[in-house]
Amino acid sequence: MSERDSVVQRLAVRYVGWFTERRHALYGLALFRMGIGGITIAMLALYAPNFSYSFGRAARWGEPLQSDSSVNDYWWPLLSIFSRDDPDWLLYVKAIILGGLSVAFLLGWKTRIIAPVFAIFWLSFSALNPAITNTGHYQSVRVFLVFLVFADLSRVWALDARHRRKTGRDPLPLVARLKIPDWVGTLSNNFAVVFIVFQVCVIYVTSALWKLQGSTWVTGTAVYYPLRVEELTLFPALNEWVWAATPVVFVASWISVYAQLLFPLMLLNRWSRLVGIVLVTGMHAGIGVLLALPFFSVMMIAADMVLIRSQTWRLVADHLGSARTSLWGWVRKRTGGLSQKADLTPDAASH
Amino acid sequence: MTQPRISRANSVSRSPATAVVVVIVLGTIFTVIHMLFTVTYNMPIAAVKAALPQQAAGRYIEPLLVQDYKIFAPEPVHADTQLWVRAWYKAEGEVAGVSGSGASSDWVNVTAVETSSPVLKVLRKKMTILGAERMRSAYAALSAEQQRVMGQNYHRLGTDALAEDLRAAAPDGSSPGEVARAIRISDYLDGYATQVALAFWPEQGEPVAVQVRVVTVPVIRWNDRFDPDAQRPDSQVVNVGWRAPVLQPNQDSAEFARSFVGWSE
Repeated sequence: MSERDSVVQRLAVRYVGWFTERRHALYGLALFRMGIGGITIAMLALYAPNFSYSFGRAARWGEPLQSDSSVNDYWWPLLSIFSRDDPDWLLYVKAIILGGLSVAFLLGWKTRIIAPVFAIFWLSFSALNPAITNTGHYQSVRVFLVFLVFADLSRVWALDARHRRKTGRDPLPLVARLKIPDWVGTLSNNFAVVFIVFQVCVIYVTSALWKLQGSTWVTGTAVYYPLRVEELTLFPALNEWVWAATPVVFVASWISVYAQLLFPLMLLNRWSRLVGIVLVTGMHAGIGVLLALPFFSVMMIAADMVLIRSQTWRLVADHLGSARTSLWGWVRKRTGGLSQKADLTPDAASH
Repeated sequence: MTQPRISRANSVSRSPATAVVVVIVLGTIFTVIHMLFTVTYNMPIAAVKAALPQQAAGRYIEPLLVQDYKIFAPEPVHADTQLWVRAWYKAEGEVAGVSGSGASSDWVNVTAVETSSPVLKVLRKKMTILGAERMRSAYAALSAEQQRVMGQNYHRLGTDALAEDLRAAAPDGSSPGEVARAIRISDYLDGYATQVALAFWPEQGEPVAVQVRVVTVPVIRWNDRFDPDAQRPDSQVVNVGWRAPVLQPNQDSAEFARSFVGWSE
């Protein structure tokens, strides 16, 4: 065998090994799951008082754009759950079911069943009024949900994980009885991770390439303008403080473009990846607060979390766990009499 | 508390079986195709996009994987976009739409109503702003003669006549895409204006006609940002004529009014 063949073989073994040795990004995926579940709950709660205005019979005036949308080409069964012909009371019932699914999804309960059902309900809901939900972060959630249903979302930081840890059994006994080989789940998860990371990179690079076609991003003044737009201003005094700081405007504008453009390259090295994630996460935190786009920001930050290695998350979790234990110790010491009467440790409280 | 480590039971510990390798190879092929189509569909550089398989990419990406990546690009939003609405009511005893008399309501900035609280602002996208942006874009795509037609009143003649006149006014005799877009967004905004009229001036009954106006108010320019006397640059206004009210089947106007009037108070 030539040296070249040997190198190819080693690369092939390494490539296959990456897909088969373990399930990647389980902590990041769990955070992404919580992020999407959380923003769906928040969105439904905020829309609830005026749900009909946006999605119900009070919004039927929007028919010219609703009937012309590409969401009408969704495959079965996505158009068969929420319907624009539904009376408002029925839409409310379905929205409450979606809310319940969101809670289950956030908590990681029976996730192998809940995740696809949640995705179908979410996508069906998003077809009700595409003028709202076929835009911005809703489109991003839609794309990510398609990939997430193939990932192992509840191996850690989930009720499913807790169930496995406590009982040693699968949280879905019926699914367990199918005896699907473990490698199927491992490959499915790892390909989903590849799709998600690729999508994050596409979002950043494409967005940067579009920005580079405009002049204000290159000159460094771009960030000033949206900070002064009324529709995007939640805290006028805060926005004014930022746009009045000229160096901040220049730096933020350039970072917005070049951190996004170079993001895939920054992923190649551990330290540059850290810098990249800090920059784009900071950018999205800023967008969320300063430009009234919290849902978009939380969604993108949650997606970025998939890029952080499981070892790092375990380290963070261990530190948080130690801090929590210390805090409980301090609380028990301060409330010594009470703790003798009732065991209030987290484990006891969970039973 | 120490977090659980990922069990090695979740992995394929032995040499991968043929089935596993086959699945990885097929998965890799699919992944490469997915990446190629995603890049093709979203490529912002026209010259590169032209060389890529656009039709196949479109069939694969639409509708589920579509996303607009023009986030504040190529230029960031630099103006407030507002939709204004007013309605025309017949005078007492008049036959609607015949004499042309009657009275108009005041203009109402309905975008200000739709963004009147922080909660409403974060629930994007606002339908008045989306409608106004699309009207501005559809209007800009029309010729000067077609824009003149858009500015005329069609509340008696109807949308079909407007569409016919827009087609006739096209420089080369036909611009079906642009006309269809203008008619669609006009119907959309007229439907909204009708609901606003019923909600805001219920004592007037049903309006004879409604009218919308798109106002674009640029923010103070970068070079003037520290000038306390700086004024915003002149607003751009898209004026369209009076149109007949549009009421869709199953429309719940009372529920629309409950929300809209509540926000306006």
